Amino acid sequence: MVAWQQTIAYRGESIVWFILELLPMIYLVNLWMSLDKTGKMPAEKVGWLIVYQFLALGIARLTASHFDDWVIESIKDGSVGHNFLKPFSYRGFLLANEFTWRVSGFIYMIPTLLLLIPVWGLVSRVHLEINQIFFVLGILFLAFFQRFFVSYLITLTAYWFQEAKFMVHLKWMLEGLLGGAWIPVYFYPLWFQRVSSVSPFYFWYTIPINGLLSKISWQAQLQQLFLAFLWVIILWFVANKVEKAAMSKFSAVGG
Amino acid sequence: MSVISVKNLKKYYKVHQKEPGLLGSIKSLFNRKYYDVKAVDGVNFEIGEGELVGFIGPNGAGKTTTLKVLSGLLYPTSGDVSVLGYTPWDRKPVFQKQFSLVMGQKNQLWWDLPAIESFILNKEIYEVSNDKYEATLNELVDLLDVKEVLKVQVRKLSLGQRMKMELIAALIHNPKILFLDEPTIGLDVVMQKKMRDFIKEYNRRYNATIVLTSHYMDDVKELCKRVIIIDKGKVLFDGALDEIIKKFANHKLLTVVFSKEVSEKELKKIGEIKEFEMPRATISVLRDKVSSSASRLLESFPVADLNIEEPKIEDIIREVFTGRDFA
Amino acid sequence: MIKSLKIIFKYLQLSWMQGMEYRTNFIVWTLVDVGWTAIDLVFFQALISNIKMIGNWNLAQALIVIGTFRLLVFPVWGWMFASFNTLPKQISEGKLEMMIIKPVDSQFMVSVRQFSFSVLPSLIGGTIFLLLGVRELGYVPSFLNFIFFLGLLIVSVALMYGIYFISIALALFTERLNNIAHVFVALYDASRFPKEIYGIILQRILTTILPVALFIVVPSEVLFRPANWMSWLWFLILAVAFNVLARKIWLSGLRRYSSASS
Repeated sequence: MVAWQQTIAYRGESIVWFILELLPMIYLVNLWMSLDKTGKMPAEKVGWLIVYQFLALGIARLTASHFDDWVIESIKDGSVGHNFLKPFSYRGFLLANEFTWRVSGFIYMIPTLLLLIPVWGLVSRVHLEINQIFFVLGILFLAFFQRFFVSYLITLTAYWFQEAKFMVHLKWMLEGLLGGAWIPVYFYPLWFQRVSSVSPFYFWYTIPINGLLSKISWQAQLQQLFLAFLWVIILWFVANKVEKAAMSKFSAVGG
Repeated sequence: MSVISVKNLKKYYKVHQKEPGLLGSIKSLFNRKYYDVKAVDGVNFEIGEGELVGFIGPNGAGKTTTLKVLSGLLYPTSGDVSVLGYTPWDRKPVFQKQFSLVMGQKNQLWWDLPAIESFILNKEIYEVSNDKYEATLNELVDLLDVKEVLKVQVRKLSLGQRMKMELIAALIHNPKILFLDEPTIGLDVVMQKKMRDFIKEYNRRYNATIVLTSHYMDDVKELCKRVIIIDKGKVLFDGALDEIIKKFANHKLLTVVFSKEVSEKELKKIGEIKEFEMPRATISVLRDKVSSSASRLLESFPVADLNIEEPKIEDIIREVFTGRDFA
Repeated sequence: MIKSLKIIFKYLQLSWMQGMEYRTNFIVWTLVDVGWTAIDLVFFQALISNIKMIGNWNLAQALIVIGTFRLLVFPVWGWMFASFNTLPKQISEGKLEMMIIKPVDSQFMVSVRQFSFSVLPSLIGGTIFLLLGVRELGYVPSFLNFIFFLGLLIVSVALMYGIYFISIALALFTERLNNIAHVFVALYDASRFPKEIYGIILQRILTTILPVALFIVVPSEVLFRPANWMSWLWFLILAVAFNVLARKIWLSGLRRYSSASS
């Protein structure tokens, strides 16, 4: 509640977040639309790509974690220490915080959805597999936790490395390339797609978007849900271990 | 001749209010209520060359706002201000080269580099010649005794050392006027004393005009012969420090040691009891009744020792700020 | 002028020294820049291999554009972002004061106070992409073309500076605008695409009041399109106009900051 109030209190900043959300969509959607206008790509495929872009944006809003930057700063300047005196887990606090932001963050998408109006003709032709929505929601739910633990692990490295922030950039790079956040993974060579498919990033965009845009057998759905869940367990396990070591280091060397 | 002249200075600004809670935040997004704050409300004073003036007041009194107007950081709402013959907010470089502003909580040094790098930068900014720079730097370094840490990264210095470096950076161009906004804030007592000694010495050596704001009375008592007290944007007092007692304190303190047990109730007939812990007591009596009160005390009580003292300046000032009626 | 150059040189020195204080940090961020440089190439290669043309650019032309984009990352991220990034926060926290009281033009002071050298790989990467693009073109642009290219790069930097500075100066008009430094870099990312992908209205906007579509494209197209003096003149006019506007907005903002603060 306090975080939402803080967001609303600074109107200028809120407007800037809207703009930052809108800008990449403008050029990407126009890029795909230009392919339709010049006949370089069939209209169905263009529509598919535009829908892909909007779904990627929505998924980012729903599942991405952004606390790594400021938590790393708080670890570096020692101010993270006071959180360990509180009667609840810091990790739990971050998780709750991120969950709240995911819900409120949807508001920033609203102006961007207006971009659907000029492309409605192309977009409306794209068939969405609504019957697979529960599978998609399940994947997104697990992706949220995967992303949370990846971000949490990144912040934990700050207990050892001054330069931990570079890992946030690494996350963005991998998310963009292997996850398909910018363009679909199938745009890349086959070997690249194979690498992507065995990484956790594959579950962040490619799988949920595929789940809405193409038919997937229930066996494949179960398999992907299981793999996504496995990644959550692996990341949770690693996060626990690293967190324990980080706390030992923090307590040993002080604030 | 005055180097700083302030006539009927006013500075008002707007702040907005927000209702509590999320609903209040949403309302505030579309419709904000503003109200006026009178930070400075008709301030007048003149400061001569070489004076070292204390500018004191409670939080929110208007001290920092006044200093910011004098240094050209803020435009006043109305009033005339002249510093060294210039209008500060015109921000003419020729004026800016002649003064310096040091704010205890704001720094200008590069955090990750030795302070000397920041000094060299300021040398270029203020266009100080190489000879003058070397001479001034050596003098300041000696005065502040920081030779050994000149080449240490600023972030590795203690707060006191950092403050000293901030002072050097601010004085490298030998300004004629120095505005010091809480320069000793956060420093330990030893470092505070060193800073005061430095400021006194700088004032003496260069005849620099210094305006100092501080919440520490020791800063004011040790450094400033003249004090301007400001509260709620208005000047309450402008004069010598010891004049404060005459103007605001119509009481004196009788500190008495008793040889036998006495009744506090009886003692109240002499005056207002400030402290009472046998065998000592401190009683406040009206200034024109000191002699008679002291006589009655000696006659009626078993007094072993008696002292008549002026109230502490900080107590007087505190009571001025809390609006206690001395009449 | 000499004083200004001395101050710029000093700030360059200080920024370099600051970078060298944390060598590991410098190396790590240099590697990050290498990463983003490589990603540019991978991203555009993937796009072109699937859609064959970006607007009306083929692979060679797209490479030249990406090369120019990467070259200009040096002034945009290495200079402008480094100097402007913390300015809005300093404005909202009242730390701008220590710069305003100095006997140097305030716009100059806030514009040159920080540089980052960890984006040097972009200079190298950009040059490599340009050379790859020229090789793909099948012919070598003339020496005069390269001179015009360099000249237009300078104009592009001036134009981008004007627009970036305007966005930053807006922080003087609001209570807090700490994220404003990201708007220009997002616009810069968008400048890699040709104006032909947009509709007529958007094309007009992106070549006039918000000339994002010109930053990279005008200098790049010197190397693979015939000379277009009118567009070059327009480019120069925009650079001057935006810098004049930036100056007016900054001075107006400073007056407001000085009137509204306490």
